[in-house]
Amino acid sequence: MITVATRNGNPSKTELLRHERFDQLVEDVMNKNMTPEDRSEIAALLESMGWNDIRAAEIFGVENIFELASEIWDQIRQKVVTTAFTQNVQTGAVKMTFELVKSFLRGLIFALPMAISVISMLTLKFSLWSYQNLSVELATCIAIGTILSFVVVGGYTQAIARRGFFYIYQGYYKMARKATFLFIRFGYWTCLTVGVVIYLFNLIFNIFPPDMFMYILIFFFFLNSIWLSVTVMYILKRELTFTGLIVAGIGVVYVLFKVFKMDIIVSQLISISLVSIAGMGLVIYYFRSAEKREEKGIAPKMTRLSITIYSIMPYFIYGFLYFTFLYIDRVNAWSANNKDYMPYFIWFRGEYELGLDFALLALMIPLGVCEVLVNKMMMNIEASYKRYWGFETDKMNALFEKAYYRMIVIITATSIASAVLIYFVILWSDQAYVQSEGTHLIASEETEFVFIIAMASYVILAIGLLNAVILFSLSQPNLVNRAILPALGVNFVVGFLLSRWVDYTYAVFGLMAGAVVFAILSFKAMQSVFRRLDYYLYAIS
Amino acid sequence: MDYSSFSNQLYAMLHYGFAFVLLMIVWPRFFLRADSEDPLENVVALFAKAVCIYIILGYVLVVLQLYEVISVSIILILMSTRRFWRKGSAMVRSDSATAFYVWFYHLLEVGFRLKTKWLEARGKLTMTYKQVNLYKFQKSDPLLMLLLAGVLGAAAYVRFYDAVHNAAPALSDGSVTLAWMKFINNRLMFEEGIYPRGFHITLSLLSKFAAIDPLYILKYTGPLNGVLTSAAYYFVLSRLTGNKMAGVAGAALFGLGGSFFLGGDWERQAATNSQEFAYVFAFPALYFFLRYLEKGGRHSFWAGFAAVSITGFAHTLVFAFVGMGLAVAMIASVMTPAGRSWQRILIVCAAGIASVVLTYAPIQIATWAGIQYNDSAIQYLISTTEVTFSPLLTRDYIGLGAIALIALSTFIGWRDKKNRISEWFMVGMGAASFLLYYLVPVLTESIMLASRTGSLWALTICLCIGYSWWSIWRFASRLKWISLTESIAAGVAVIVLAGYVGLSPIGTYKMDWDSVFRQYLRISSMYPELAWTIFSQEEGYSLIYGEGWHEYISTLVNEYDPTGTPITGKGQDEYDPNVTKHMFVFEEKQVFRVPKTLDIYENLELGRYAKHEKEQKLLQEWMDIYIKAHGKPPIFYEDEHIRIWYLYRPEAEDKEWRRIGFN
Repeated sequence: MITVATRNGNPSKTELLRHERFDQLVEDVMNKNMTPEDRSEIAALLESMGWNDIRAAEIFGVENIFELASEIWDQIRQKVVTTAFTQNVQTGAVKMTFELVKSFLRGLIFALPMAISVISMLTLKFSLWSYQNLSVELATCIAIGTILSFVVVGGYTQAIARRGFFYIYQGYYKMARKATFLFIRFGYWTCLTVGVVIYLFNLIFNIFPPDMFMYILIFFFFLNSIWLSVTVMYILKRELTFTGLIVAGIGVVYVLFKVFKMDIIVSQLISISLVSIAGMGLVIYYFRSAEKREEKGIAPKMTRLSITIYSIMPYFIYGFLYFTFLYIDRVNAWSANNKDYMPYFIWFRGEYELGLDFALLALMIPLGVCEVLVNKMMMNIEASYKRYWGFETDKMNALFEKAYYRMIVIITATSIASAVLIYFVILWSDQAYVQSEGTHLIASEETEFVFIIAMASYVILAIGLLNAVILFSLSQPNLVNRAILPALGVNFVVGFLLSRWVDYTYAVFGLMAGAVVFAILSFKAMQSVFRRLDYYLYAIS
Repeated sequence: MDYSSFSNQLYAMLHYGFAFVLLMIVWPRFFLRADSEDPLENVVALFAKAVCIYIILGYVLVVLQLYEVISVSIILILMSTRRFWRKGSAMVRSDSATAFYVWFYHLLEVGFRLKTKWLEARGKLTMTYKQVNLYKFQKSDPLLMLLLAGVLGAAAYVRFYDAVHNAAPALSDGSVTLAWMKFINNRLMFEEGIYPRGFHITLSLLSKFAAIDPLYILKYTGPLNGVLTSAAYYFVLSRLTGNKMAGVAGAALFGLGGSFFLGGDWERQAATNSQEFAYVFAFPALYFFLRYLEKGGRHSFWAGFAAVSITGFAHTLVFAFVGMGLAVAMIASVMTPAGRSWQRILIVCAAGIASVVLTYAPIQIATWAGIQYNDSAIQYLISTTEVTFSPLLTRDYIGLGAIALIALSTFIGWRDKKNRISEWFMVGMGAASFLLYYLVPVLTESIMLASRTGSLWALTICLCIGYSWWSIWRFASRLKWISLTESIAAGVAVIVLAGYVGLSPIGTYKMDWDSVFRQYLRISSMYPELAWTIFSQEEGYSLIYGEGWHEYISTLVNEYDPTGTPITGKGQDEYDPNVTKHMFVFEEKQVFRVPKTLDIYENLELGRYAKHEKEQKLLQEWMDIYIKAHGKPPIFYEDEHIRIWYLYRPEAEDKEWRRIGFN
């Protein structure tokens, strides 16, 4: 044991100095490894730091480096055992409110493009990729192109977000760019492959005539482009830029369509292509700018492709399943046979789409709240889990489980409130629209029916999404996938059966049933996670 | 679009072929088992089992109002992947997932190097080869293969000729079959009364997956049934006797025998009817049960059960015929002590009863639901008349001679017991079929039996003659060059047969002008489904049903005002919104008539054709007024028989709408 006592009981200056050097050395070792496995590892660390037997004997009077390692080991163990618990940093009400508002604002900004599109539709009668006077054939093409683009590119958006954030949070912008563009390339290749496959499929099965199919492919491709660039802007926190692009895009459509009297579809396609090219260009520019700010030093190599893919695969699968889940009821509804007029395998039904679109607004506020709740919970977990002894894990788990139930209550209440709010806003808007345009926004019973059921479904879905976000935060995407896969199955089966047996609008009950299953299964997954939270925290550390 | 053009036929046939191969050959490999050592037997067994399952599936899904491509595909996918879903399959799932991950990440690791890709492609080809288990031609006798291909090719040529050259369905039943197929497409099971719908379900399924107009499905399936029946002869006879030339003989007799062997039924070989569909499975069903009675085995039993059930689902008379064959097979089994098993005989007996219950169930359920039997069918079934013994024809003597030859060969070669059960079966089946044809109609005085048992007897003649080929050649099997001699003899026999019967493409009578059907196909290819209306006579109903809208000429001239906006009901101010804006009026410049030699002519002349003549005059008057009011409308098509007027109703709001070209 290195002691610092002197003859008279007081430490001499040399000994004090030696003591300080010893403490410094302990700290250096701990900087290298906070929790070394044993004495041998410390000895190895000392050697790597330039220590040898002679130097150890000279400075600390020990026989060799192993004795010194032994001393440091004892010191570290003592230090670990006696380190006081850090106290939770209490988040003040003002700060909390600020965080909440910030999250909401970000959510609102992210929803701005949607709002601008809606306003554009209501005032100009067109937006970037929709037009009020489209024939049902064209609407069908655009709807299929849109759904396909979401389903195909959904996995890539999740992968980009996950991997992009992963590097950006560490300040590795160059790596973030490389990873992001890797997935963008994959996205385009997949888009191309899917395009070829569905072209061949259509060739064999004659689902749509060639001219309709061309529109499907064009919209599918360009919308894919847009979603990919939106995702990158999202991870770079450039949502306003995208809003600007949408505004500019609508402006281009206006000029081409109204001023130059070009065909609306041609105008929109030109505009969409400009927006996607500009979007990609801006994304490259933003990355370059960020890279300039990046700390120069050792540039880590990118992980091998297989490892990168392996690490994001569950998120990719989730993205695919999630968007399929969101759209499968539309496929059910639009493919249900209408004996009066059903010229193609899938036939767009505007009444259904409109009901779902309005209902989707109800999800905006709960999603904002969800983000805030999860952020707060993760901060709490991070701050407080070190305050518990090993034998107190049950206590910790129970505490957070309780907190989780509170979150469920909050998100449920918020979702219901949001749904009620949106319901009345839509009713009011409908009246206002009647006064200004002479027609109803919700012009049919079908739309109203779908709107109400879908809104209830989204309220339930919000609970599932809260669970999903928490599970993602705990790096448990497989648990989310295990919940959403059966939910997707239920969504499809229930929607398919009801749309065939009752009416096509009843496909929305598939969405509801799927949302219920997703909420229940993800809730069960959450319960199992919180009952073993210590394990899951250890797993992600 | 010219119906009989090479490109159009190639396009339609490729689609048809794709659907047939997918549904009948490839997909069944994934959800059914066939573990015989004989690849051809596996192909036939899987085909029979798959068709049986499709029919049951069709019945269930139509009743549940869920019949469509999505539901059928999902059920088949679930069935194909059931090893992953059933209880206790966690290990299978896990292993498969691991294998997939290993493959996938390995692919990422090694990149897309050419060598790897080549090896994988080669591996896949091998796997595909193993999966599909294609018939191994390389081990076969080339002369035999050539002869078989020639026989089947010629059988296909004479049968498909009409289908390729004429768009109009063959015979009077064609439009009924077409309509019933379309009813199934629209989830209507017994729309025109109770009648076994197994064949129509199969047609409908093919039309769903082929994605071509149902008319093509109708036109191709009938001839294909005949070719498949020929192939079934080859399969059954070659497997029963072990002599492939016997199989070729049977296939040639049925495939090329013409009206000499098949009588009036020869024309039906180019038409599409349930009876001919049931023929495809009749003898394979008996073959599989004979095999089961002889050797046992689940494979034979289930294949036989499926094939028997298909005949029950498709055609009651053929089902009864197969039932008779089954009884004969059981007797043959009893008479063959070497392979006799009372347990197997009882099981076959039970299977027959189960098949009756299974195939009768939809009919019984429909009667419980208050649906009436199909009028024509039930009338035909119960009608009686005075029936005299049929004069025996040359083919009958040949058939009886073949039966005698088999019997004689059995006794001469008594010590060779290898094929004893099938020898008894052939003698018994031949005798029973002859009695069914010759005696039973006289005893029962049934019109149906009098007119149809002849074709069953003809079927058996082909079988017995084919079998007798082996009965003759078996004694010469040890002679030198016998194989070559037999092949040459078979080739000569086939040529002589074709020459003797004057083989030529089968021509069939039609119920309407061919151009009506061709122009319908043109219209339906130009406009989306249900976006157009055709005004024509009643022959157009089954043709247009489900694709566009059909209205009668009488409706147009009686209920619509020619001076109003196209088209406005009499006494109305505005056009009829229920009629599509694209309208085609089929005017017959010359009313179609079936040949006077046909039995049905007289009734048609008195009823339908007289009405048509009257209505065509009314239509001309209606069109004259229309032309005065609106000017001459475009003529969509015209020839010496028909003229098709195109009426169009423009819609004011169209200008504001952005549409795809065709609107």
